[in-house]
Amino acid sequence: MNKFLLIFFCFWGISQSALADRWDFLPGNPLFNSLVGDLREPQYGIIAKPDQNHYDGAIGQAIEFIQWQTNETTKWAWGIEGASFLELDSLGAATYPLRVSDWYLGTYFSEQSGNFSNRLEYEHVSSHLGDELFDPAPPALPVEHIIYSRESLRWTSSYYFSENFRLYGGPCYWTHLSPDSSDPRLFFHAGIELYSDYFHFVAATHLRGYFTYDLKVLGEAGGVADQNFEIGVQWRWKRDSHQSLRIAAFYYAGNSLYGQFYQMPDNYLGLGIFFDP
Amino acid sequence: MNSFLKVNRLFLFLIFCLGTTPLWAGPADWSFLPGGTVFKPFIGDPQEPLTGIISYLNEVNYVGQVGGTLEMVRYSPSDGAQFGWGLFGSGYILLGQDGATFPMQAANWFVGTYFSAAIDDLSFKVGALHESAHLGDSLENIQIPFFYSRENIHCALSWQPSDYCRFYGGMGDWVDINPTGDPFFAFMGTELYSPYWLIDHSAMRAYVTAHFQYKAEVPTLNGIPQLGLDWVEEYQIGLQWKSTVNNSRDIRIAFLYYNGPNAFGQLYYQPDNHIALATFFDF
Repeated sequence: MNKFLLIFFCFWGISQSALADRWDFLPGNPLFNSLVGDLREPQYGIIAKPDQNHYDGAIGQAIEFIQWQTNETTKWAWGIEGASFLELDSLGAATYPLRVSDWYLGTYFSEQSGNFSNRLEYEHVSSHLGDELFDPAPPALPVEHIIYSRESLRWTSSYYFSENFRLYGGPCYWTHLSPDSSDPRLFFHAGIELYSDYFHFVAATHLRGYFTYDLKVLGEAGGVADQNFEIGVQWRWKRDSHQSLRIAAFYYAGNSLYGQFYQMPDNYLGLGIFFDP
Repeated sequence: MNSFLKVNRLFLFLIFCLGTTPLWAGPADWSFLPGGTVFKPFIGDPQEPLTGIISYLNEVNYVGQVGGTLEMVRYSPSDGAQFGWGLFGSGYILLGQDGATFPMQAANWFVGTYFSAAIDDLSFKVGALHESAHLGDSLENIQIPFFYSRENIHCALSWQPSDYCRFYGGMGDWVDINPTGDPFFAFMGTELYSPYWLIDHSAMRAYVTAHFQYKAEVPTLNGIPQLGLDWVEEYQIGLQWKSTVNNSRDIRIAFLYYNGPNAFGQLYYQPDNHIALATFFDF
């Protein structure tokens, strides 16, 4: 009954919001553009990691419920985001056992004024060891299953200096940690996105090159900097389309992004195809 | 051939396909990453790639699902027909509850591709799908995971004579199936909708769906066939809420009833009968 009431009131709350003027219900494009260099941004993609013989899969997206305009230049938005990331091994004979999967669910408010935009997220993540590594695991893969469940508050401010250059960053805080630890809960996230000009590609589509650098500085595991360097091309039908396809090569250095291995260093080269819905 | 090289070749093939599809015809008839899909998803199919949260009401379980369909290319000749090619992917997680923690019991993953066509009230889709299922870490040392991985080819035909009803059916064959079994399956269903009522800037309608699937496969447990698990049925009754009548994005809230073999591959030999409250986000 409580679940029903909770969902009913959420539904009712959205409906009341939708009644107001200057509101846009279920808009086509999110107000805060996703951070293409952040490998944990909700996205659809496939990543090959040749030097590890592993593959990553990503499924997820942000779902913006409402946008509203408070004055001529300022817009606000509210939505939810969900994503799943999995890492597969490659054992030959077309066998790709699951090593680990992480699941994200969160909600956010965002704001945009001109080239300046902000996003406040509250996000839950849980990480689950893949059945390939269950006890008794192969001798070369000694992994102990932990209960990894966390919630965080994340603030990100973003500024577009031009269509070709975006800078973003902000503080984040773990509101709940499992396993618990005395490590600092405050962490920071920042990055840049550089884009070339668009050029006409086949059949009147548009293509541009991009480079991103994404950095997370966390206090866990004795202090760690997770860095991702990404270079690729972004392909759109029209310049103002939100949907795009990206093909990118990247280098990641830091600790593993997967919660079950968060204390383990992880460095790899990757080749990915990403679909931005 | 090394499996990594195989996948890399598939990877390159995918890049090649993506790179050459817009060349097939003049730009006036083609759209690249158009948004939406030619073939509308089956909202009553429990394994359609959708995003949602399902809370069981007769047992302490939750299902989280994330997924979507990305139409890569659409061809729209002047005679009103439409053709589309795209990719889809989804992930499903089954969670229990232990106080404030929600241990994972199982997960399923789907990825696939499709070609579709639509003309007037009829639409058609042919697709290929890979499914893998993995045991959740809360069942480590309780249950032994087994290799559950399969690929199928399937087709579906849909007829929507009005805005208020849709009928569909289809069939498929698991070209590679682990654990082994009879690969044939078939499905049919219907979607019934009320007229829209307007809530100022938005539109809402009620709906009912019924989805049935026959599976020729007989699940086994420790080599023993588990009979009576060849029929899946799911019914939904709920509300669909859109910004405008023609918007393909919506939020749905529904009660559902499911009866059949457990949809999670690692538990596929178990009967599953549940009612649930679900919220779906069709984007």
